[in-house]
Amino acid sequence: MTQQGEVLLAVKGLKTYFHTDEGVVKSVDGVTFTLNKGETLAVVGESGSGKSVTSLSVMRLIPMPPGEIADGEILFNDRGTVKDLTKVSETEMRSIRGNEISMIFQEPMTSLNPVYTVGDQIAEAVMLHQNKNAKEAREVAIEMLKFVGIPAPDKRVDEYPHQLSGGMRQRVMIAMALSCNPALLIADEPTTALDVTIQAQILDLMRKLQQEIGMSILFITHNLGVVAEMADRVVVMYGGRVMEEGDVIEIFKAPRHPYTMGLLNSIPRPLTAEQAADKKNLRLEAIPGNVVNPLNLPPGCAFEPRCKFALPACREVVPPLEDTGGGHMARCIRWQEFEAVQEGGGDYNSLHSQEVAR
Amino acid sequence: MTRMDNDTPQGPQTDAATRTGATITEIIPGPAATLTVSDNVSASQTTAPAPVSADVTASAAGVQPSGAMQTVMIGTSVQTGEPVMAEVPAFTAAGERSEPLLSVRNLQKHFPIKGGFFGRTVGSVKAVDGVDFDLFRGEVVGLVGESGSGKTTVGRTLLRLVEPTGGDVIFKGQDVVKMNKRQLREVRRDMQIIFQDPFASLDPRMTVEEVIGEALDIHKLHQGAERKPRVAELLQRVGIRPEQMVRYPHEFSGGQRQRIGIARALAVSPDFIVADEPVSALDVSIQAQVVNLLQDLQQELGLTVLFIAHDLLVVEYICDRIIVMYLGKIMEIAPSHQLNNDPQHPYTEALLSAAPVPDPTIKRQRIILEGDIPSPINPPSGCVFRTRCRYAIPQCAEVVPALREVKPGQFKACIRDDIL
Ligand SMILES: Nc1ncnc2c1ncn2[C@@H]1O[C@H](COP(=O)(O)OP(=O)(O)OP(=O)(O)O)[C@@H](O)[C@H]1O
Ligand SMILES: Nc1ncnc2c1ncn2[C@@H]1O[C@H](COP(=O)(O)OP(=O)(O)O)[C@@H](O)[C@H]1O
Ligand code: SF4
Ligand code: SF4
Ligand SMILES: [Mg+2]
Ligand SMILES: [Mg+2]
Repeated sequence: MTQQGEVLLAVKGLKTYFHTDEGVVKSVDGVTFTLNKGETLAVVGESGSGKSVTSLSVMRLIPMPPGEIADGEILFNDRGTVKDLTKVSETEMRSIRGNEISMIFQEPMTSLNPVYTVGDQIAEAVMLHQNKNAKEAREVAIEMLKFVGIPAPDKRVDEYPHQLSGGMRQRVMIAMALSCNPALLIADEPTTALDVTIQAQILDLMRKLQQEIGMSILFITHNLGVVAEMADRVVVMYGGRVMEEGDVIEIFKAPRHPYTMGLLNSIPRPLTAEQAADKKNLRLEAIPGNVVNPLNLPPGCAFEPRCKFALPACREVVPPLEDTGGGHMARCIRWQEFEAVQEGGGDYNSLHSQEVAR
Repeated sequence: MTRMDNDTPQGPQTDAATRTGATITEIIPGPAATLTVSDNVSASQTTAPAPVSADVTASAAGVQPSGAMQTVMIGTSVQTGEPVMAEVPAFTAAGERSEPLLSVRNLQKHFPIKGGFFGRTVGSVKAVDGVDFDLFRGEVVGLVGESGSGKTTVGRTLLRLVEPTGGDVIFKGQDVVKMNKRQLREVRRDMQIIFQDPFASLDPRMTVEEVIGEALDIHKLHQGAERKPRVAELLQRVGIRPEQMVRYPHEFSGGQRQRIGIARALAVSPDFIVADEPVSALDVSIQAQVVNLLQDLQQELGLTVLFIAHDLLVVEYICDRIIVMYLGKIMEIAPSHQLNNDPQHPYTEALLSAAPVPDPTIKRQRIILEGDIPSPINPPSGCVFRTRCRYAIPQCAEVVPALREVKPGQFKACIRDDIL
């Protein structure tokens, strides 16, 4: 899986800034990653880490001003021709957006028009991208609703968004997004607002559709369970930067960045019988402090104020994103030491800042 | 049954023909099972007092097949309201416990729906529809279920922030439902609530000191010169620097706001707290901090907590027992580890199966519940879960399942004992 296959999207050194009254918000500050054809790349990180701004930058939907793509390239393989999406004309971008890249959001209500029926909205997308008349487009709309698993699609086609449940609205969004047969689907927290039961339906649907259509998915989420379930590869973001990138199993089993380790340790796991029998002393391993404010990034490593492995050197320069082997990237000056622990030498405790200081 | 897979071992097949008078035989999807209902007492028959006797074969995964059976009430008939009896595998019941701190009996909340020209009541939303449970002193009990299942409404009716339509809430021996205003104010010193975003409902122009101080003023506690030190002490305890009490809610992050919400609830030293999704809106790293804080405080102060949430792993982590709700009713109650590892109700099984597991090496078949939770205005007859239950049989529409103990300390509202 690693770095093989044909590249569909390559983001290189992307910087997206917002000029606000309080100063320059460096929402995305030099983000680099690649997404291969047919692959699902998950982007994880806590709120404010720059996930949405990254995806909106790829779609070129950043409001400008106050936003600005200050630097970097977004290389998109448009059926054999590589285009830099930061440079193509607005007309061309509109065509790419409609035909090659689609996006679904957390709250479908914001992207569905409340005054049109769902059928009209899908039909409009179909007429725009496929050479079909109104009657044919309606037929396609019903087909699409059926395709995404909406019961009684011939009735639902005439309903308005507010008449549908959250899960059904998300299915309608997916139907619209897929009506142009995109090469890339960007899904920004598509199941965050849904119940786990409905989330399971939507994730199942996305997996099936991906197998049928062969599209790539850029899946943005903060839920590590969803990442484990959906992703081939993972990008971990914090403070507008990529902290770690790699194959999903590597990220979960051999994380090379303290932020990734912290995230993994924060989530509760199923308890063993012994743990369950004596819960009094059980505590989660929380990351201390608060999520970093992109208006106020520390000078060195963005995670330094919360990192239990931090050394004085971490405060001096922004650590580079380094290849730790086989395309597993980490932005931490101490990744070799973590690798050594994972490969059987010593333990993490001896690497804690206080221990090192002694 | 373990939480990682869902191929239940096959239960012993019972030949329906070997049973006397058997007529209705249903082979249902999922684990093989045979439910036999005796002819002379069919589910639709109206002869009282014990109209139905169902022999249900014990599944291998269920209660150990000791062979002993007992006749119990498994529900009430939709048509007659009479009890429906069945013979089910016997087990030893859990030992008696001490007096509960809080006992909820047949709690109901039906929100009226207004319609027509004169705003007449044209129906009702059955948000909570006959709920029974006990909370024991010092216990942390989780309340889970899909959105709209009635969790918040239960939490609020306990404190009478929402007036119940019926039922009793016995707190320390007194019925909260029957209390007058003065008694209510008194009892609310002992019963507090924490919200998902404690500041959403508060005046943004109040400082943290005012927000917490207000809780003290209502009950005339720590007044005058004692007030500020008390606020400082509370903030300190939840991990906020006391000098920050002069700040406004919007100046704090989500996690800090939740800490302040906890301080506010603890200000009057309550015995019992309803925590309504206190960590659901927080980032995972911050969620872990707040979960740890809640655990520390609960143990230190011996609090009894009803913890409303939707993440079953978080709930297992901090709760002793878990209550699972669906469409205004309780589906299952069990000790948390037992519920997560050996669910007895099909809805619990499906909820557990739906939750994504943070381990990419585990690939599992999940149970996908079809469709959405039905409208609480017109809930399905009989078992409310039957429209999405993969084990549903015709009798499920005829019988409202009773919540009954099926293993020590584990209660379920499902008429079938031959499935999980
Ligand atoms: N004031 C009200 N008037 C009418 N219906 C209401 C009112 N409050 C709640 N309901 C309805 O009662 C049902 C239960 O709602 P409740 O908020 O208790 O669910 P919940 O389990 O807390 O859900 P969530 O997980 O979304 O918080 C829902 O169908 C809801 O729409
Ligand atoms: N239009 C905007 N103006 C100013 N700041 C913004 C804007 N959009 C996003 N930001 C800021 O950029 C940072 C990253 O945001 P976002 O990408 O939405 O994070 P997330 O990882 O939660 O999706 C946040 O601090 C956010 O406040
Ligand atoms: S560079 Fe230093 S502060 Fe940053 S994650 Fe690595 S050890 Fe921690
Ligand atoms: S009683 Fe309800 S939960 Fe039990 S099998 Fe029937 S439909 Fe399913
Ligand atoms: Mg976002
Ligand atoms: Mg609620």
